[in-house]
Amino acid sequence: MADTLKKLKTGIEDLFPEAEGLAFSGETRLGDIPDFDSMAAVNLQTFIEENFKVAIPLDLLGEDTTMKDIVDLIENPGKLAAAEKQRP
Amino acid sequence: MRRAVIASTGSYLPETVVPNEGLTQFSREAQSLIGKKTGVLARRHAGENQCTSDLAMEAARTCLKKIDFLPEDIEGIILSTSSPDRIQPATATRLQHLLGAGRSFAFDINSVCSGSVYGLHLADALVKSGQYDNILFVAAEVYSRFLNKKDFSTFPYFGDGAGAVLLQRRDNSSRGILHSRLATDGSSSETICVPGGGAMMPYEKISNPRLAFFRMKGEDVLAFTLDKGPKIIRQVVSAANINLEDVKCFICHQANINILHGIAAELGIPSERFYVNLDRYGNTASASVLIALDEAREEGVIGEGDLVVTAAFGGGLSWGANLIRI
Repeated sequence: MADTLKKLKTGIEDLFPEAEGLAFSGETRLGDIPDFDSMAAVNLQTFIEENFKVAIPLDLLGEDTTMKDIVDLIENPGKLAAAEKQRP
Repeated sequence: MRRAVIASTGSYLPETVVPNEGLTQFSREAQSLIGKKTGVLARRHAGENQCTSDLAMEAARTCLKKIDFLPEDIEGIILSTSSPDRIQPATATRLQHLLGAGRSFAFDINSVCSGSVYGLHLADALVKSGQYDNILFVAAEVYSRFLNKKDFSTFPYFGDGAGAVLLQRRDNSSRGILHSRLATDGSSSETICVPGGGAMMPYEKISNPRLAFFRMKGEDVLAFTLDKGPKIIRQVVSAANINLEDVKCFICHQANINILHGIAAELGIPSERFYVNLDRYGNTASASVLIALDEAREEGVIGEGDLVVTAAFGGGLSWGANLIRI
């Protein structure tokens, strides 16, 4: 968890320069990141796919998604598959 | 009355077509969103060896050739670009050289995506001043060099291209640029910008490479254009005592099909009277209005005597409109 979260934090700081200095924990929501929107979600999706080889659908990267949620999806393929099944 | 009449137009789009499916740096899911969110289906990218002045030259040559106008007879060149060849000198100087327009002065203007309507107004004013009989106004952009290829907030929506207009003096003509309105809100200058690389944030102080690329706050831009676009169009038309119904065609900045539909709805004008080519070229910044103007003339959508409104909005924030009798 810690390594994945650390790598995710580095990536988010690179993707969103305004996020520098943001208190960052597992409970941090994507909506807490300045300028995060549906377009920026694609940039995060691309980053995760390139760095973790995990393809997370965009509707699982919403404003209320927490860092812990993302780490879970990255580290547990079963959770990602289950979440995808619940999509409308 | 002295008028500046559109004597000719031209445009140039680079050969390389990049469809949404070609943006493989983004997921298929993301690719499918581009068309849905903006109406952009493809864009053109300049060749490796082409820069902004090269695109400008192609558009200008096409414009001049249509009426066999000699480059050496051009008195002034204004080039609109926010993606210049270099920070200095003005890109227009290389254009002047490439064209062989040695008698003309040449300089750049930068009002980002509004540069088309600002440049038309400026060229019109220079001709009307009585000092010049013609001005070549060109808008050229190579945004593909200023965008982060991995930034979905910007990269998919822009394309490269150039447009040109030759304005000539005519006395006692009903044709020409009848009226222009320009506006600026400098308090929102951060909404669309390239943060790094200028005096405010020189290269050695850029802490994150992303700060050297173009960025925009998409939702703020959408709200701004839907608010200001219809208002400036109403203002420019009413100032000339013309009714909106008498305007044959509205040629607006080609940024997003939803913006064009929104402006049309607010004005109560059928969307069909708004020229659209953003599906093929994306947002070519200040070049978009001139490219669309040239295509509309070539396709016969507009012809001599027709009333046309050109309108644009962009970084600054800036916006404006021209009322033109073709």
